[in-house]
Amino acid sequence: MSAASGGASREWRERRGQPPRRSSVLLGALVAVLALLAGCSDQNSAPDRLMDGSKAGSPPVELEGVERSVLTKVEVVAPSERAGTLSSSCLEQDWGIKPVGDSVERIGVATESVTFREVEDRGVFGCSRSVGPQDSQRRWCGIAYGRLYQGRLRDPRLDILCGTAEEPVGFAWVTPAHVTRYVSVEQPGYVEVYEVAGDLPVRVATVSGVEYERSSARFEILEHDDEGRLVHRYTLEPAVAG
Amino acid sequence: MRAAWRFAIGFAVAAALSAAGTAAGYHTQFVANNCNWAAPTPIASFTRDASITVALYARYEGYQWGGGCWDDDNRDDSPGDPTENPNTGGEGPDCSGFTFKIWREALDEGSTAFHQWWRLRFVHGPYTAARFMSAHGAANYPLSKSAAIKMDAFASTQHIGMIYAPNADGTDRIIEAKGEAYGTNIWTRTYRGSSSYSGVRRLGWSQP
Repeated sequence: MSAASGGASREWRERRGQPPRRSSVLLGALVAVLALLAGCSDQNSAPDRLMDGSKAGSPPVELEGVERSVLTKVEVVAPSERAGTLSSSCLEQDWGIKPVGDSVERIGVATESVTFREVEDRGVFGCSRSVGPQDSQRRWCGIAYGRLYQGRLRDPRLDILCGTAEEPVGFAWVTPAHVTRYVSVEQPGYVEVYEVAGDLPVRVATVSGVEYERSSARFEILEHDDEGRLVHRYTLEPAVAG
Repeated sequence: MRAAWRFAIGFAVAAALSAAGTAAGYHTQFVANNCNWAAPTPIASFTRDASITVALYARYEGYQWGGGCWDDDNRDDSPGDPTENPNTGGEGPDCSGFTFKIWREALDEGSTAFHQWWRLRFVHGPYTAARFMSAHGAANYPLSKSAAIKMDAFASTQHIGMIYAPNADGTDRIIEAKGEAYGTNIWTRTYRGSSSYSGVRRLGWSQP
C-alpha cells in the first residue's frame, strides 16, 4: 500500500540523485504506478506464489487504496465433495461437534484455512496452517471455534500457534460488512486479499502482527465492495480467549 | 413553573448519575490499575495439591473473557462486563487462561517447564479451550476421561474446567472460570460423561 508508492518514490529519487521537484514527484509517482501495473517491478513486487505452489493472482477489480495485492484462492466445498479436500482433513480432528452446509477453504501466500458452520448456527469452527515448521503428527497447526450470537461472532477467535520460519502467524475471523466482497489484510510489503464466500466469516492471517507475550495480534484490514470501492478500513486487535 | 424546572433538573442529574454508574461498571480498569507484566518465576516442580491451593485464590474473583489477572478479596471487582469482550479489562480469568495459569505453563508451546505466574500478573497464554481439548502444546497431552484425577481437565471446543475432586456417582467437582454471570468457582459437573468433552493432563506433576 503506502509502502509500495513510498518505496518506488524512494528508488526514483535515488536514481535521479537529487531532491525531486513537485512536478518530478508526480511524474515519478506516475511512472512507478505504471511500472507496478505493468508488472515490471521485481524488487518490490508482491509474492508470485501461494502456499500450495500455485501462481498468485490479482483481484479482478482494482481495489481502492491498495497496491501490490495478492488474491488468495478460495473454494466453497459442498459436503458431498469433501473427500480428499482440506475440509476432509480438518474434520479428522475429533471436534465433538458437527458441521452443516458448505465449508470454505482458503489458500494464501503463507497460510491455509478451512471454515465450517456448526449445526443449528451455534458456531463456526475450522483449521489453519502456515508455511513454518510443522508438527509431523498434525496436518494442521491451528484450530478454532467461535460461538455465534444471532449469527454473528462477538470475538474474532485469534489463534497464534502457527508460524513462518521467522514469525508467529495470527489467524482471526472477520465478519465482513453486508456490501463487502473483498477483505484485505496488510502484510509486510503487500496486501493479501480474501474474497467473501460461503456466507461464512473470513479467516484471515497476519504474518507480522502477533504479540506473542500478550497473546494478542494486530490486523490492518480493508474491506471493498464488488466494484473495488473502499467500504471500511480498520485495525483489528483480538486477543486469545476462551 | 418552578416545580417543573426542579423536576427537570433533578431528572437530568439522576439520569447522568445513572449513566455514570453504568459506565463505571463496564470500565473498572481493574487490569490497568492492578495488574503487571512481570516475568514469571520458573519452578522446578509442582504438585496437584499445590495447584489446587493456587486455584482457590481465584475462587469468587470473577470472570473476564481473555482475562488472566485477579486479586484475593473474594469478590468480582468488575461485575457485569459484556460477554466475549476482552477489552473491558476486568478482574478474573476465562476458562483457558485459568487453566494455563493454574497449570503453570510456559508461553512457549514447546516447553513443559513450570512457570509461576503471580495472581496479579496478567497472562492468558496461547491456548483456547479447543487447543486444550486437542492437547496442543508440549505440556498438555490427551487422557482417557476414566483415568482423569484431581487437577486433570475436561475440555470441549468451548470450555475447559479442572477436576477439584471426583464424586462417587461419576460426576466431578470442577474448578472453572465459567462465565461473566457465574465467575470462577467450584461446581458439580457431568463433563466426564459428556461426548463433547475430552480429557487432558498437564505433563510433569510431582506427586501427589
